[in-house]
Amino acid sequence: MSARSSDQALTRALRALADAEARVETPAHVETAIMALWDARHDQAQTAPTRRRIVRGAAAIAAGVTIVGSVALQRDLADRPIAPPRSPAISFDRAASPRVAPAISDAADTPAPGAADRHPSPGANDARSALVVMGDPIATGEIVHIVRMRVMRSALTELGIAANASTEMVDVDVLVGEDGVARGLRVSL
Amino acid sequence: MRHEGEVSDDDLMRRTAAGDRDAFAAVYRKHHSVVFRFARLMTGSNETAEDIVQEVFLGLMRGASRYDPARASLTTYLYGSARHQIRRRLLRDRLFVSLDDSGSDPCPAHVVGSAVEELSRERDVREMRRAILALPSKYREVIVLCDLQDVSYADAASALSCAIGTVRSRLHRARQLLTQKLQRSRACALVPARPTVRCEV
Repeated sequence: MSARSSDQALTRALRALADAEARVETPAHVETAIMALWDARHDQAQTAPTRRRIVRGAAAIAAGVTIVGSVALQRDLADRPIAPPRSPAISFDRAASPRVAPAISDAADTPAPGAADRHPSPGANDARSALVVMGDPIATGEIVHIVRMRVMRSALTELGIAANASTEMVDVDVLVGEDGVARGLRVSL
Repeated sequence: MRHEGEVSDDDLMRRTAAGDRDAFAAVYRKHHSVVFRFARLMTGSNETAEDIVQEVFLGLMRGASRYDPARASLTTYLYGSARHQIRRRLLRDRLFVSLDDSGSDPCPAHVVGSAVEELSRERDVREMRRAILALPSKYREVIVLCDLQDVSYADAASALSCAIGTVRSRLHRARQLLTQKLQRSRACALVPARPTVRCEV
């Protein structure tokens, strides 16, 4: 087959394909889908400014409340007298402590049978221990609970207590008053 | 009231950018066919072509305000956008889906000269379609645009982001490749099938 006739055949075949393709139309559902997308997009665009206005209003209100609250808090703190700082750590002899001794003797020094064997008190076997008093003093006759905890030694160092434990974790007794507020902390030195 | 055909693409696009639904619908009705046919010829799949039409017009909807008529005509812009979508799709799919010949070549009765001619014509169309789909993408693009969609070389160059000379050289090479493919397929068709021989054991 010569080059000329090949070209002619190719042109003919291309023309036939072009004619066949000219009759092909995009299905109608494509237009429906595109116009639905248009509608959805423009509905969204119309509702967006309203939503944006609501969000801006809410943000402004929240900012106002925060500012008023912080000003009120500042004023309240300024009016309140500043209490003298308490001693962070009181080193005491257990038997000689007049204020906390009764409470401790009620709850801590009379443990349940066998409890001391399992979890010895941080100050039970040591000659010296430290008591950090915090909050209100323990009232006479007030029932004090002792919660035994294990804390990081670094946490005690921050309170000014140098515990003699060799490990990173130190056992401490937390004295908890009837109101559930911690009143003191006992740790062996 | 003006007829849709009288309104220029620039005007329609300006109105589309302003949120005119009717203008966008008019743009779609005016241009959907060329995008669909281009996508169909490039991918060989009706479903993929439908997806590409949707993607192209969705992109037009989103970026109507960015369209600059000074840079290219809307048709060229749409071809470029369709080409981009097709490339992405082909890269993702990495294969072509063959056309469903039964439904894709509607042939009305008035076109048919004779049954033999029609069969021959259908076979030619099928062969040509296969040969075009087998071409590398850069050659397929120019054949589809210039030979099948009657796009001018300048517009094709603009849509393909290349020089007119490149379009010409690619078209020349694409036609050579197509001729070779068609000759090969016809030669294969002329080889008689080997007769089946029953062996006696």
